[in-house]
Amino acid sequence: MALPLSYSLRSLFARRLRTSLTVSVIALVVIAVSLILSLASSLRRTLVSSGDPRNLIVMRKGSDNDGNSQLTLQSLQDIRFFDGIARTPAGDPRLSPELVIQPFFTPKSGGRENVLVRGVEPVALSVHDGVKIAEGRMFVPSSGEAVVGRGVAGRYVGAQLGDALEFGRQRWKVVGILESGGSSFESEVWVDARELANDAKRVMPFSSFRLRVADGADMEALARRIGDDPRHALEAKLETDYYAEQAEATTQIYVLVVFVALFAGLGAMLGATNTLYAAVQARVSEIGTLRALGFSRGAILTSFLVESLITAALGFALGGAIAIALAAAISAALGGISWQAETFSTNVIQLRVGPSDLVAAFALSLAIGVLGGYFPARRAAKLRPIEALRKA
Amino acid sequence: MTPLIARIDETFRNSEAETASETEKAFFSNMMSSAQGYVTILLIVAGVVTLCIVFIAANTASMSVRERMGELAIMKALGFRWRTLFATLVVEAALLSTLAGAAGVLLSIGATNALRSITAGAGGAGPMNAFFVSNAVLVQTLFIAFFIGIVSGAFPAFGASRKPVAQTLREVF
Repeated sequence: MALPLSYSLRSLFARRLRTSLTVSVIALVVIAVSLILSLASSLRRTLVSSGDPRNLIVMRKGSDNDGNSQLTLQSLQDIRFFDGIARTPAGDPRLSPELVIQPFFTPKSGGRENVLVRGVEPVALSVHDGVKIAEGRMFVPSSGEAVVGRGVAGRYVGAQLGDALEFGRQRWKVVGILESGGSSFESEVWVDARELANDAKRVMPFSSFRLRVADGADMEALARRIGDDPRHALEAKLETDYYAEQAEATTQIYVLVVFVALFAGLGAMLGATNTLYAAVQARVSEIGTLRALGFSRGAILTSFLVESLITAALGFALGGAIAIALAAAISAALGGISWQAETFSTNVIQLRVGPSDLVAAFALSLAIGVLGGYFPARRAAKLRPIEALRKA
Repeated sequence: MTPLIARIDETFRNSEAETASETEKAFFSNMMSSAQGYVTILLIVAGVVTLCIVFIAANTASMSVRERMGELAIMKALGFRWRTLFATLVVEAALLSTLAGAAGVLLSIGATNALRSITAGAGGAGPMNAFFVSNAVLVQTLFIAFFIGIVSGAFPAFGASRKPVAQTLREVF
């Protein structure tokens, strides 16, 4: 016969101080681990959501990001009318030639960061159709106007609507704020492509082409045709693949997670073990009585393990709630976390503890509960009833 | 160096490619300052982990005090003042904790050395292959470990040393 759940619950409440100490320790481990995990997952979410599965990105062969790719005007003319590229209602190809540069911006908190400035043509909004002008209006080409991402507007000096933003050789009037559901376009400034090329004195006017593949057209075939074109050394890949590659920098954060989870988790496990050993010690006579009443070793082992698991679950609930609030507070206080990728462009990410982070933290706290509870539980189950009662 | 920086920038002023020169040191420190949000999170996490360890150490200290209830009661019966016993217990916890901290520092020196020897061949890693435990960090960590010992030892020691002798002896024997 199994011991009722309420037995485990009540024994926890009998030692409030020790139980709350163990719960706090597990909660702290959960906070630490889910905060670091959320850093990685928020960055990943920001980057991965930037790619559209129906889009291709075209760069110079061998470039791994549009910051180090250069394309000629001729290559634009040559691939612009390929079959399989979607058209706007007016009949223009939905292909957006883009130029990126990464000048320094000044964060409100001081210092300097490279921000990605993307020169685009009006067609860009029909290719990146997740990008919307949330406030103000789109820039008018060749008039020194810029639209800035929501993340940029919140983080840098002079990037609010109506401000004059200084970079390159001129000042740009901020006429609109763009939003894209949290993707990395919100960490960018968009201006007129020709104006930017002129300002930056670029010999080759473009960095990359983004294009929307027509419904029903074969993406792979179109990518191959662009890549195999003998006139230019181009390479086309899925936009989603491109951003997934950019997100690979998050691996180094996962290394950190493993370290913290391993060491702090080990400590928490020892803490839980200690607490439960003390509980077993204090309840020797009680366990003896239970055994004498006919409860099996298995039932007692299970009951102690359940006690440990409840402690771990409480710790997870407390820690998870604090971590969610803390992540939101940090993000709000700093105006977003800046992440400078190897490509030098800064992503302003909104820190958020996501479901996958919580699942990982929950798995860790369960592991702490099981491993920390097993040895004391086994000791309790191994007590011989007669000796246990005699000791009492 | 400053006149040279000014001269380089002056040479290219109003040219096709203007320059902005600075020392390598300034460049890398600016790079790092953009990682500020990341550093903030790491500091918070480090704080959380430290607090976590305080709790765990306090738990362990209270276990060891509990085991020695009888011993403490006898010492008190022999005439030692509670203050002396309290001090002994706290010093013991601090000593243990500082020793553990020293072991940790040695391990981290080993780990960073290993990291450097791995990344030594890889060029372009910049400040990333210069991870090392500086003297300041070494002293800081030892102090943190020392304080963890004091804080975590103080609570159980206070309870134990203030408990009346008769009650303790009755509980134990």
